[in-house]
Amino acid sequence: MGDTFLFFFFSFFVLFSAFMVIRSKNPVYSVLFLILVFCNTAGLLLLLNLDFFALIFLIVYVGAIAVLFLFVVMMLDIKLAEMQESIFFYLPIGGFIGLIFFIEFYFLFNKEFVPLHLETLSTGSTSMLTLQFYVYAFWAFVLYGFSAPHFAQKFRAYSTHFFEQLRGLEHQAHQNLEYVIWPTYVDSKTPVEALGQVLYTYYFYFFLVASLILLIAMIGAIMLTLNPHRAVRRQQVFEQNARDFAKTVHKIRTLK
Amino acid sequence: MHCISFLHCSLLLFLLGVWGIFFNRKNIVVMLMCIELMLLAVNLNFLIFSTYLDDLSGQIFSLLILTVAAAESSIGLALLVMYYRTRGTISIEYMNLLKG
Amino acid sequence: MIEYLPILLYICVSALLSGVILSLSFLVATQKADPEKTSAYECGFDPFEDARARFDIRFYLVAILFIIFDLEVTFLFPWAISLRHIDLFGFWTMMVFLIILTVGFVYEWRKGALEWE
Repeated sequence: MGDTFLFFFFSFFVLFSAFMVIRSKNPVYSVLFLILVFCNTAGLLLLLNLDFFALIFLIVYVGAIAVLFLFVVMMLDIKLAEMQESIFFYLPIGGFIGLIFFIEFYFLFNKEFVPLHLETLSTGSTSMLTLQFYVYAFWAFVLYGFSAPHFAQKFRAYSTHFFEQLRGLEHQAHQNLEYVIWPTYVDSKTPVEALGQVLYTYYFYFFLVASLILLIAMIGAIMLTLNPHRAVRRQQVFEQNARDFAKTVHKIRTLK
Repeated sequence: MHCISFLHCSLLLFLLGVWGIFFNRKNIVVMLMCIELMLLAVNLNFLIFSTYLDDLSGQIFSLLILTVAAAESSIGLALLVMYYRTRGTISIEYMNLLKG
Repeated sequence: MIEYLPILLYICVSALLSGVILSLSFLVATQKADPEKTSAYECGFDPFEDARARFDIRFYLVAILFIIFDLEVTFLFPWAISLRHIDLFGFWTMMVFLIILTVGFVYEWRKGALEWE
């Protein structure tokens, strides 16, 4: 119960602030809402029992990436007038792509996940129920027609029966879907420890490629942003102290 | 908690990222933030499945994606700073004029 | 979830405290604003430009360096915990990682990105 409430709380704020990232006119507000997205995602990860990752997300995303975004927004000093744009100019293409995407994923979830659980748990009785329902409806229509009160009564009784059975199956499925963290039973290693044992040995090439990516990011950012022409004026402490006052100040004779 | 509700959350986050790229055609900073949102959704997806399938490789890939996201945002923002220096604006309408 | 109760308490207390401080400074202070008081002070003048000052580019370079080493520390945490189990191989993997990142750091140093006037 508490978990459900917390899940809806965090996910609502994730989606709401992601929406506000897109829609706010001022980029500074966008960055602040981005920080809110990251914090609430850390909350979601706590719900998944991934406490290490929750804190890593806070450190890396909020502490580094969001600050970098904030730096750039402050550095560029974007005028607010520049941000005024027609909201619905790209709506047709964006909405179309979003719709395709959404429908695709809806079908994916609907077909791949939910019936899979139901059917594996109840050995195909859902589809049998559905088939029975259609067959019954067809024969009832042929025999009585829609107008007969007899049919309506039977139809209602049968459909309530059908949905009750379906709900019972779903309830059963939800009860059986609880997962077990087996490593806690096998040996008492923390998740971070298990992660370290795999990451630095079995997946070490991924790890080294990550370091190369970081190297490229560092060198690329320096190459792009550092201006070679601007000389940096540093304070030369020794030279300034060793300078002879008598030699530096001249009186220039002026012409009469 | 059911795994599908988490998946729906990350899916909608990804979708908001895609929509943000289409709606903010003038402001590259917000587009980079939307890419960041999409990477966050992908990361969340990996972590959800790694929890529910009880597999560690999802968490490892999440760490690697975190690295890639940081590198991507730093280089992207550096490019953005350079673009602002040369043109004095950050709208991407005329960005194709930069080539050559 | 009970182990996160102290964090919840911390958040609640900090939110409460900041709210109390904000509201007290709003409520207790005497507020009698007149045009003479809110206008620019004697020898001051209206601001010429936006209060948002532009940062120097070198702050950005320092921020990037911070991101890189932040991630390096992120990778160091699981390594430090599981170093007992991963033998010399894991140790040297991390050393190669650190050497590669040190190459970038040396490059940044020699290039003068960390110079400050």
